Amino acid sequence: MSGAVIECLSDPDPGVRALACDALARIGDTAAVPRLFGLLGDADAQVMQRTVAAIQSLGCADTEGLALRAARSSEVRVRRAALRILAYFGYPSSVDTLLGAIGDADDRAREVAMAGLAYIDDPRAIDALVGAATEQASTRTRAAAVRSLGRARASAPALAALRAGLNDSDEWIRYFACQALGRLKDEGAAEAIAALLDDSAGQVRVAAVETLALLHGASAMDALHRAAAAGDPDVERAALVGLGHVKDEASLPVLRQALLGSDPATRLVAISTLAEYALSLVDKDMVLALSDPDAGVRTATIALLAGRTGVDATRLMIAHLTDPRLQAALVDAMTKPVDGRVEALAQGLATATADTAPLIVSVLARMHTREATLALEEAFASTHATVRRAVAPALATMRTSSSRALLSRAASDDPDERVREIGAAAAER
Amino acid sequence: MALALSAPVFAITSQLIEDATGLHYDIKDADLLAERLSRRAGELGFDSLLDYYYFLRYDSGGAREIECLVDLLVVNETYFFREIDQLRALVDVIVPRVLARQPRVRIWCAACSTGEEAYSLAMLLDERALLDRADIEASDISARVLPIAEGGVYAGRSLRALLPAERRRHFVELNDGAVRVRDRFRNRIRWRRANLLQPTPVDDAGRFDVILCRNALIYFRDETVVKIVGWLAERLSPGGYLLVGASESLLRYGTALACEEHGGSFFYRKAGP
Repeated sequence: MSGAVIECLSDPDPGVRALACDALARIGDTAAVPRLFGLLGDADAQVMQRTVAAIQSLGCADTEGLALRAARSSEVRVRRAALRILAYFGYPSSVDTLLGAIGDADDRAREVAMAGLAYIDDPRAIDALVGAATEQASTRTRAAAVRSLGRARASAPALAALRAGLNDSDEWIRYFACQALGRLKDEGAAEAIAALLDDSAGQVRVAAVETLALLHGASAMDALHRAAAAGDPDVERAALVGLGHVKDEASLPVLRQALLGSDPATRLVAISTLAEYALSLVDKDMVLALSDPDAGVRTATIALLAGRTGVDATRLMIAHLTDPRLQAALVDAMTKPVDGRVEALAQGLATATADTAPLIVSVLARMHTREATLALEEAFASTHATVRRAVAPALATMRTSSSRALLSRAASDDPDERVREIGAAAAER
Repeated sequence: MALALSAPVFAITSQLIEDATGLHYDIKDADLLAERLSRRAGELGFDSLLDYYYFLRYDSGGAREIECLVDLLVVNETYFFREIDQLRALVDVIVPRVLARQPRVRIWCAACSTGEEAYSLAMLLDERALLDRADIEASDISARVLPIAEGGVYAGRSLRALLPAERRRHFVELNDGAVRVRDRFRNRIRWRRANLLQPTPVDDAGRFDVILCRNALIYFRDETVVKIVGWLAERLSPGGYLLVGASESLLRYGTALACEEHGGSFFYRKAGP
């Protein structure tokens, strides 16, 4: 099969070539790797990206040699792609090639090489990045070097270069220096970073807020709380996200205040951040967000609840099933199987009303899992006719031997006439 | 592979896109948006969508970059003679009615994508010997599609609803199954870039007897649709008509335009003669 797919790599339609790359990655046939390297210079950016992804996914003994050779290509797109592959695999043999690429004539090739060097455990890599951060003529390259230093292991020369970057005249270098120092947890830089809260560049102010959140100190938390009411929507939102990283209960009032604000995007960020806390602490906030005037906030809240494991989030969603604005989205969201979902649905079904029982049954039936089917079959033994009436049509559509047996028995024995009718109709079919 | 798009980053990025273009993304579309943003962010060397957002938001090149991003985000899927019944009713009923009271008819295709709709309209007018009395303008938010529209070369799915006779009559055959719209249509349409949320470029174009804005409103949230329809209505001459897609009824928005049915299709008419 992979032979036919490999042939598609030569198709004139870039969409076909891109899909062929995806398919080869999934098939896992490493025989395709040499042919994939032939596509690294593809004129279509999508094809090139998918090719790199396929090679990274497949990997094989030949990849290292092929990538090293491609990194010497005269075609800039091939070099970039090859460097990305070398950076991804981190072959020890690739260090010299990546170091050499810092001097590549192409901006992007230099950036890819530096991104790779950040993860290589070789002192020459850090020295090269520090050198690039301070000595390169191109501000774009210095910014990339600063960004890469933030991903490397912390060292005195790296921290010194990054602290110097906080005062660089280029706003993106200040931005990445700030981020990098946060990642490396350089608490000694907190004061210099706090000074950037008033930077002229918006992204630097935001990065300062985010970094202070990562540094966690008392002054950082004060700064975050102030920034959350700064008046600049991006700074406010960044502060909210930062508070979410820390997950300090003392920040809950600030987040709740933001949830009451006038800007829907800020409210959405606030509820996303609140959702990072234990549900027992924020359940009332989630309920409030479910009735937000903005549909996007409501939908996001449902998605956030649906992604949570444990029975409590599902219980909270079941409690809102009668809200017509939320009903369809809640039913859809709850079909996503997570731990505790079926258990909570089964509990909810046991006490459901005539309005909610069919909706809970619908969720269980659409989950198509053994656990959900068992929950439905067990619910059919409920003493409440409301529940059995809701479950019976679902069992009839399942047509499993156990559901047929249950319906057949119900057709004659169930005390409720409607359930007997459904059972009889199912038996006839 | 798509870069990570967390809920907060989705919130701020989708808001920025909506403010700039009106395009609305629901959180259920987050994966789709992440894939498209990642494609563009990757091309620029960003490995974080938050960094890319700040670039859009704060960098001096951000406004220009949003225009490039729009080219990736908008759906350009369309074809010749799409929703043909409505176009037929337009040229058979509405246009003759306008021309009965004035010498020329002004028509604007307000979301023309790669041009198929504007050309289809020109072709139908030509078949009824009305093209010489029509002034057609066409616009789209995407700068990428306008050269395609102006070039008039099409192939594949764009041509899927064409009959062989229509293809012979209206197009010149090129190599590889492609065709080019005949010059008499290409010369009759004026193309321009216009963002329906920032209507300044079209403000100086005056008023139109007919505005087509089909299959575009579905990408906007209700409040944005109300705003755009209100603005389009202002651009209509008294008694002018607005056409929207078959699935885009305006009745639920409470528009001041009156809904009329012609030939089984719906038209929204501004009060007037």
